[in-house]
Amino acid sequence: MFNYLLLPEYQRAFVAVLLSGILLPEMGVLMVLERFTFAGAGIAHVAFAGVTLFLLIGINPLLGGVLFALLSSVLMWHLLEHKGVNLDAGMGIIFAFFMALAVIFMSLSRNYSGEAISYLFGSVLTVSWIDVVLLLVVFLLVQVVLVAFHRDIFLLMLNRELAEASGVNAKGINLLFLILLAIVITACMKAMGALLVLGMAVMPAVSALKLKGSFVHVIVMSGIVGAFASLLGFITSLLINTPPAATIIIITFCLFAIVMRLYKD
Amino acid sequence: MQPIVANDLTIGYGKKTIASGINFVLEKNDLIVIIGPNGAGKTTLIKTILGIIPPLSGYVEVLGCPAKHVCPHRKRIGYVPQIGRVPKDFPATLLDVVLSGLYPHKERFSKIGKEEKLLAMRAISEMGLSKKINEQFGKLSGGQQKRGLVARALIGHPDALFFDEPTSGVDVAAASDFRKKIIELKEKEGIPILIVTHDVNPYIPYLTKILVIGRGKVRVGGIELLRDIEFLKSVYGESIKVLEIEGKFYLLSGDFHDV
Ligand SMILES: Nc1ncnc2c1ncn2[C@@H]1O[C@H](COP(=O)(O)OP(=O)(O)O)[C@@H](O)[C@H]1O
Ligand SMILES: [Mg+2]
Repeated sequence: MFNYLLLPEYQRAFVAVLLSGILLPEMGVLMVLERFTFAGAGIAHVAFAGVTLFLLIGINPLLGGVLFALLSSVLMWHLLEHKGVNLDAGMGIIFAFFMALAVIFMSLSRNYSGEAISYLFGSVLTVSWIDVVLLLVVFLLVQVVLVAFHRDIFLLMLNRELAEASGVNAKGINLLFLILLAIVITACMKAMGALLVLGMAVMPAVSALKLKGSFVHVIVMSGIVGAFASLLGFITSLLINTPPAATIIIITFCLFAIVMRLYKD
Repeated sequence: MQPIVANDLTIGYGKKTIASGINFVLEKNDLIVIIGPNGAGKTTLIKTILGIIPPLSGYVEVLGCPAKHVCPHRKRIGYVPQIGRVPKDFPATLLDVVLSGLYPHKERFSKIGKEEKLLAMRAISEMGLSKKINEQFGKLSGGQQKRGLVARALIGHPDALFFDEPTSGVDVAAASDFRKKIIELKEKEGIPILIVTHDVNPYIPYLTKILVIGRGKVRVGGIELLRDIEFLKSVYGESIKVLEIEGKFYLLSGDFHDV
């Protein structure tokens, strides 16, 4: 088991799993509190559409992923803030369109659909050093934003009018959140897979919310739960030779189930 | 200085005018009660005064600061919004929520200190919630949450207090307690108060002005406004009836629900 960790691809995988395991749950707390999980899943799928297109035209697929994800985030934000369409409905509109695109791109690029599938289900052992550095940059960015804006975010989640009366730029914070989410989801997609990122974001977040405490406390806890679950899942996958991302999600689910049993209130 | 001055103010959203010709002054010793049917624009008026949305035209000044300018004065108004119940899993204790009343006055990276926690505890005990200080905010009853939000408003030592339907969704006994607190704040602390409500009666002995808003019209005056049935019909609709019994006014109508 431990000789695995001497191999560079396992070292990269280890770091990628750990960083995604913290990042996704941190964003997950905000997603759960803002009732935004469906839209989060949608962003992941839209990012996947971008990945397939860029695989087809032969440019770095993550670039396609982040461009598409950002596009859908900004569109959703526009629908929310200027057209009065809530985020879930907004995603319902954008989601189908981008997924249809992805299907068409995939059918055009038969040679690449294997690689496309790895973005769908995660392929942590093919993560490159560049992917890891990218993840690290995103990780640091998110920590800085959370530290700088946690009070604004807290007020916004408590009540929008209250936040705005306190001088919080609600539109700006919502845009920042959606942009961050697009970046985080794309950055974690290679390791965790477009279909599985949502689970990694939501389950530790809901567990941490059950453990109670203050807002900052819950965000930190969700990161800790996520880090623990993802590492445990990764190691398990090495031991029993199963796909890492899927194993991580199953372990995370088990932890989630345990927390739900222990904290029934 | 008068805390609030509104001059020929028009409120609304974008191109949609909700009400116009709004003129009133909130003086230091005022308790103004705002009434009007659902959707009349009561919340819109409050949001405009707070600077959350811009006035469509006219002038409104808050603590000496015109609405079009962004100025810190606006944060000197304590605001208790019309808020549904906070979800059970909302990650904050009562203390956290009350402390958040200081956020507008704090630097981005500054910490909350001991003295500030003491301030919060004082505001909480003032609202009779000392025992709940470390409880999850979402687990408090509707009335307790409202009182928590008042404590939150008080911690910043506001120069005026706005309440948007403070007793809606609160049971009768808690609502009555709550109104006593509001009136106490006015009488003891001398804070000028603006209250949106559907039931003017409990405030009649204390209020200084009534602002009636509906169907684009606004009038400000005393109790006599409630005896002007023609005006009330133009605001609430033809079906409105007013019963005056022992100095209390009961408005009865089809499109007048929930208190
Ligand atoms: N953000 C908004 N954009 C456009 N119209 C709005 C918005 N918020 C409220 N309205 C409309 O403005 C009118 C007044 O609403 P509001 O001030 O909330 O009424 P009240 O508080 O008196 O019940 C309603 O017709 C409502 O539909
Ligand atoms: Mg209202």
